[in-house]
Amino acid sequence: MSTDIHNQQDDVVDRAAAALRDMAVPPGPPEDLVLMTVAVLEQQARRSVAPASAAPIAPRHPTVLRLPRSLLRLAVAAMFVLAVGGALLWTAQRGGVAFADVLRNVRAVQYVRFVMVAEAHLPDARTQTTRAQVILSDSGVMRQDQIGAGGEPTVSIVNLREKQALTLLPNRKQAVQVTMKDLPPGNEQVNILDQLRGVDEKNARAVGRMQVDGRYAQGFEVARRETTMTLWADEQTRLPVRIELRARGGMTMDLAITMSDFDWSPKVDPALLTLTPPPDYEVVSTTMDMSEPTERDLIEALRQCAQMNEGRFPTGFGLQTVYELGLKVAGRSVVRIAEGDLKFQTEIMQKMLPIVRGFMFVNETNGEDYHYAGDGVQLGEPGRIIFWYRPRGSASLRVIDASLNVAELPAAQQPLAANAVRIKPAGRQ
Amino acid sequence: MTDWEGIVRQYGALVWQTAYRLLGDRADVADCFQETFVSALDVARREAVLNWAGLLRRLATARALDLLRKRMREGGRRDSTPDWEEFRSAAAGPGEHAQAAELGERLQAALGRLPQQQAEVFCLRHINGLSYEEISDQTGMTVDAVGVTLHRARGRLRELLDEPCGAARVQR
Repeated sequence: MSTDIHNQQDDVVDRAAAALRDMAVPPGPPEDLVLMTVAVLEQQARRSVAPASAAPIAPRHPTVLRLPRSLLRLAVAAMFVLAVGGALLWTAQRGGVAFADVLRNVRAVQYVRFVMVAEAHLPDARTQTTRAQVILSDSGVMRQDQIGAGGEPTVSIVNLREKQALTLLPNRKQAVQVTMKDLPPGNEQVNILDQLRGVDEKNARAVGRMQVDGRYAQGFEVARRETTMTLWADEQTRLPVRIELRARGGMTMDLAITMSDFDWSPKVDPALLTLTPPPDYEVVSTTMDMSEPTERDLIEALRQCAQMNEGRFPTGFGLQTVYELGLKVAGRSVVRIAEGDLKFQTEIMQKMLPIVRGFMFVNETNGEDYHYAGDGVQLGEPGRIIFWYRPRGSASLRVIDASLNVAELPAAQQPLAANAVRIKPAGRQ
Repeated sequence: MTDWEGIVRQYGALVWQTAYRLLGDRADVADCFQETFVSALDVARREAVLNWAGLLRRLATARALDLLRKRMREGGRRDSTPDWEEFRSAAAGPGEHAQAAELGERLQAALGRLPQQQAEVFCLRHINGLSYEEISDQTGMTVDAVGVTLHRARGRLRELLDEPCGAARVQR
């Protein structure tokens, strides 16, 4: 009954099958894909064995190779030693929680103190865990005290309403003051307290009850795009006792944040929330452009990527690229980042921010049909197209060549470029 | 606990090649690659896996066919610019490269229009080179059923490939 596939080469089906069978497949999988896949599998495997009551809320299938829509915020979060990350990611989603009683109680709070554990899954499959004591105020200020990777105590104070941030290294008596320039309206809410105050309760669903620290709590879940929040509210006080955030920042750059040990009426010295550094500190001041990225940022990002990569455009266009270039820029001094050298971190972030901004431009709000074809192309190489996309609502493609000139083509006329890879853009802002 | 890194490293090339032959698009292949291993994780939760290569080849084929069907539902539009170099056959000349590429591309589109089981059996047999017995082991079908399904798949594919050029072809 078996058919000998080699005796029927005259048959169109066999010739077609032979064409696919004999096709030269490029070497693969790429190492970054292997690492990301392993990270996803290990994470999913861990979730499968976690106790039911503590099981994190995860999407059924991972989103793959998707650019992080909150990359800029992630970058800022990284500079603040990851501690701000969870709240910023949540800010990006602008989600809502249901239960009116809990919201009413939260809205009446002046300060809240809690413990936050942030687990970030890095592109190289490592996991970085950060534990911080957090204070939030009803005036939109967030303070985080934590121990950095090198055992260095670090304090971060962020006030997006004032567009200011301050990071302190008490042992080194160093401070970094950051002014956030052109922060778009609507991004002033940075912390979970602000978020809970502004939520639409219609979007939440009850997920049952469980015991948290010996008290019964009711669970509510709100999922929005890549982020899921599960909030457990004490049935007696009707205030949160545990909040879990699961954020897929794109690719496998996941953040899992757990907030617990809440104190909803702490005594807080307002001096703890000041944005003025102590007088005996060495202060580094810097400005960050927080405006909405434009095509010009994309072009600048492509240029910087090539310049950091010995004059050639990098292999890919995604989080992994940012990560690898960041390591390249940091070079052997990467240990200084791990040790919490704030000045050095700030320098690196300033170098990387233009790239991050360019990558941020690639989202569904700005356009579609994003393609990258720059793998190995020399900066300035004539006649090579390295990137194109179709601006939202436009009938034309914007095509960028290796000299970073931009031309327009009719949308039906897709460029022919070797090694072109479609980029899945980040979601709508 | 399963050594996922070991499995991905040992069988990654197999999954990559299986997916690439059917999809020919790096972004889709990367999606398929991850989805294949996540599907394998689901299987491994339910039962002990004795033949990882067979399981992963079948899952990669099934996930790639899912993506092909999705392409067809979305109007047959291919999302990335085809790279003709990637269709180069080891022995053929330039003209044959183009012909083979076109034929292969038409087969990809036609597979996206075939019922799942027929497409899967066809790929396992004619793209991956499995015997009827191996396909039977992998899919749980009887050997006779494999033969019948394959016969039907070939008949339908012949019709689709004989359609005027473009009808079964991935649109650009």
